[in-house]
Amino acid sequence: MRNRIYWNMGVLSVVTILLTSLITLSVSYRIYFQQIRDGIKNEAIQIENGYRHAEDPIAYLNSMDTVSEEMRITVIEPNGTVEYDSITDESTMGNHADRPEVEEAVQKGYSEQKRFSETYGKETYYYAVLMEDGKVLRIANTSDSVLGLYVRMLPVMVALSVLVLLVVLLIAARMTKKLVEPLNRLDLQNPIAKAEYEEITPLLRRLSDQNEQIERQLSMMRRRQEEFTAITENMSEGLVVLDHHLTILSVNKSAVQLLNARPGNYQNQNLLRLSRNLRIKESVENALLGKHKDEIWEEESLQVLTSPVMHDGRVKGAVLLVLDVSERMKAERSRKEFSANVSHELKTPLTSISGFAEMMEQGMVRPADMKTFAGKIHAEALHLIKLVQDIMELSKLDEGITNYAKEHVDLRRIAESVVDRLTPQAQNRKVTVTLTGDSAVVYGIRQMIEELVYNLLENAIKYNKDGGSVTIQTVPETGWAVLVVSDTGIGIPADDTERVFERFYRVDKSHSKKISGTGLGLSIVKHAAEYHKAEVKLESQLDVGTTITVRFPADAAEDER
Amino acid sequence: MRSRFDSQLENLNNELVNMGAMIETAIGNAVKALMHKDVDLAKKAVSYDAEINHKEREIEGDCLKLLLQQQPVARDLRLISSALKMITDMERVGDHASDISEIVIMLADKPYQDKLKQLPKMAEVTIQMLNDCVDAFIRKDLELANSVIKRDDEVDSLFDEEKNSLLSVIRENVDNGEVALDLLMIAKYFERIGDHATNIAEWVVFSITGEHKQ
Repeated sequence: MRNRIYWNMGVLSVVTILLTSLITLSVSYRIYFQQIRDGIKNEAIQIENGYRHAEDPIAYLNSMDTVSEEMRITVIEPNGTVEYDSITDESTMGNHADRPEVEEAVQKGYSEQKRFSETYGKETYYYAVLMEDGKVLRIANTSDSVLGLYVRMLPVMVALSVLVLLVVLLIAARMTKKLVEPLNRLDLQNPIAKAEYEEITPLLRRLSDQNEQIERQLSMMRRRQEEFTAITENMSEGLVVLDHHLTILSVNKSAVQLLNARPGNYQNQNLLRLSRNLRIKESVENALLGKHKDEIWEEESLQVLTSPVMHDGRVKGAVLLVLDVSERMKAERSRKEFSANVSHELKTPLTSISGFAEMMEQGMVRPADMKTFAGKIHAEALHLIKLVQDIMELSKLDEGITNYAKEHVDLRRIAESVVDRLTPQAQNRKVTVTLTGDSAVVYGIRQMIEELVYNLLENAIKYNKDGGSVTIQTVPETGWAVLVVSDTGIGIPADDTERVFERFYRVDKSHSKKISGTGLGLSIVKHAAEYHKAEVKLESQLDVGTTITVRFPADAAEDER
Repeated sequence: MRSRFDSQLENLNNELVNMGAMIETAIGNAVKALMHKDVDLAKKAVSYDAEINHKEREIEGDCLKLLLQQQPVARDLRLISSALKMITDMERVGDHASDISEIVIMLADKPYQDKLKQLPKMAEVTIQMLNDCVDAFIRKDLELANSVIKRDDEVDSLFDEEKNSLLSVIRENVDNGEVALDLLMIAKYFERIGDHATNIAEWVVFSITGEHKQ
C-alpha cells in the first residue's frame, strides 16, 4: 500500500509538472510571439517613415543597426536585388524577388511570414512592406521555436521535477504513515470499535461478522471436543484414535491405564510411546489396511479391537479399543472349574451306587448283607439328591431369577423352625443348640433366608465336636437385622477362611466321607446374602470354633427389583 | 528445509523406539520359551532375529542419509551418532535372544527346569534394564539411564552365582554336565545382554548430555 501511494503520487506529480509546463510554455510562447509580431510591425512602420524622410536612407538604416541586434532589416529593390541588409553584406546576397514575403508584399502591400529552420531549431518571423518607391522593406526577427524553447527549458524542468518529486515523496511518506497508522492500529478482534475511516467500515463490518462466525464455530467445535473428551475420559474402555502415520490423535485415561503406560499426554506422539507392545502396532497397521481385528490377550487380560477409519472410501486412520476382560476371564475360569467339579461330585456317588448294584446283580452279596448294601445305595442316592438340589438352588441364585415374592421375614421365627428341623441331627452328635435374641425383621425372600440359616446351622452342627454347642442369635439393630451363628467346632484354618465360600471348596480335601457334604453350603449362604445385600463376616479359630455373622439391612432391597 | 529435517529426526526417534520394542519382544519371547520350555515360541524367536537385523540396516541407512544430506550439528548430530551406536548394541541383543532360543530348542528333550537357579532373576533384571533404556531414551531421562548403568553389576554378580550353582549341579551328577554347560551359555548371554543394555544407556546419556563414559 505504502509503495503504491509513493508510486502513484510520484507519477502524478511528474505528469503534472510536465503537463503544466507544456501548457504554460505554449500559452506564454503564443503571447510572446504576438508581442514580437506587434513590435516588428511597429518597427517596420517607423523604419519605413524614417527611410522615406531620410536624406540618405542607407545611412539611416546603418544607424538603425545599433538599435536592435536581433532585428534584421533588409531593403530589396523592385528587381529583387538586396539594397541593404543589416546583418549580411548585401553584395553576397542573391536575388530576393522570389522570396514569398517579398512576392506577397509586392502584390498586397505587406506580408507576414513565418519560417522555421530545423537546423538551428529557430523560427524567423518576417514582415515585409512595400514602400512608396517600389522597394520592399523586410524586417526579420529570429527567435527560438516552441520546441527549441522546450529543449532549452528541459534541464530546468528536469531539475524542477526532481525537486518536486523529492518534496512529494517526503510528503507522501508522512501522509501514508498518517493514513496507514489507523489501519495498523485496527483491532482485528473488534474492528468496528476503533474504525477511523468511514470508507472501510463495510469491510470492517464484514470482518467483524466473520470474526463472530469464526468464534461461534470455534466454540461449537470446542464444545464438541469437550463432549467427546468427557465421554471418552469417563469410559472404562480404553480408546485410542490414530492417524495413518501411527500418530495418536486422541487417547483416554483408561487406555493409558489398561496399556500400562506412564500417565502423561500422549497426543500427537507415536503409538510406540504409549505402548511398545508390537502386537498393538501390528493390529493397528492391519486396521490401516482396512481390516478389523478382535483379539483377547490372555496374559494381560485384555480384549483389543482395532478398526479402520474410512473417509471417502480411503483409510484415514484407525481406532483402537481396549477392554479389561479380567472379570470375564475369571468368570470363564470359575465356570469351567464349576462344571469340572460338578461332574466329579456327581460321578463319585454314582460310581458307588453302580458298584454296589453291580455286586448285587452278580450275586456277590449275601442275602444277609443285602439290607446294608441297599442302605448304602440309598445313602448315596440321598447325597446325590441333595447335591442336585444344591446345584439347582445355586443356579437359581446365579441367574437371580426367583418365583418367590418378597415379604417381611422375622429372622427369629426362621431360626426357630430351622432349629426344630435340625434338632434330631444335633442330638445324634450330642450338640446343644441354643437360640437367643429378639425378633429381627428383614424384607426379603423367606425361602432364601431359610436356606441360608439352615446351611449355617447345619454346618455348625456337622463340623462340631461331639458334645459341643451351637448358639444362634438374632439381634435387631438400628437399620440392621443381625444373625450370629457360633459353634465350638473344629474351626477353619486361617488359609482357608477366604476360600470356604467357593463352590465345592472343602477344607478337608480328601473327599473322605467322615463328614458328608456337598461343598456348596457356604456358597449358597454367600449368594443368598449377596442377594439381600447382607454382609457376611467369618471369624474362626482352629479347634476352638467358628462364628459367622450375617448383617441384613433391615429394609433390605425394599426398593430393589 | 528445517521442518523436513525435524520430521526426519522424529522419524528416526520413532524407528529407534520401534527397534527397542522389537528387542524387548525378542528377549521376552526367548525368556518365555526358556521358562515354559516352549519350543515353538523358541523357533519363532530365532527367526525374529532376521527382522531385527533388517531393522538395524534400515535405521543405519536413515542415519547415513541424514548425515550426508543434512550435515547436522550439535544435538542433532549427537542424536544421529548415538543412534548409530545404539542400533549396533540392540542388534547384538537380538542375536543373543536368538542364541538363547536356539539352546532352548537343543534342550527340548532334556529336563532342565529345576536347574535354572538364578536364570529367571537374570532374565527379569535384563528385561527391565532394556525396558528402562528405551524409556530413558524416549523421555530423555538421564536418571533412569544412569540407573540402568548401575544395574549391570547386579547382572554380573547374578552370573557368578549362577556359575557356582551350575558347578554344584555338575558335582552332584556328572550326567548333568551337558545341560549345565548349555545353561551356563544362556547365563553368559544374559550377562552380555546386560552389558549391551549398559552400552545403550551410555549412548542415551551421550545423546542427552554430550558426554560419553569410557
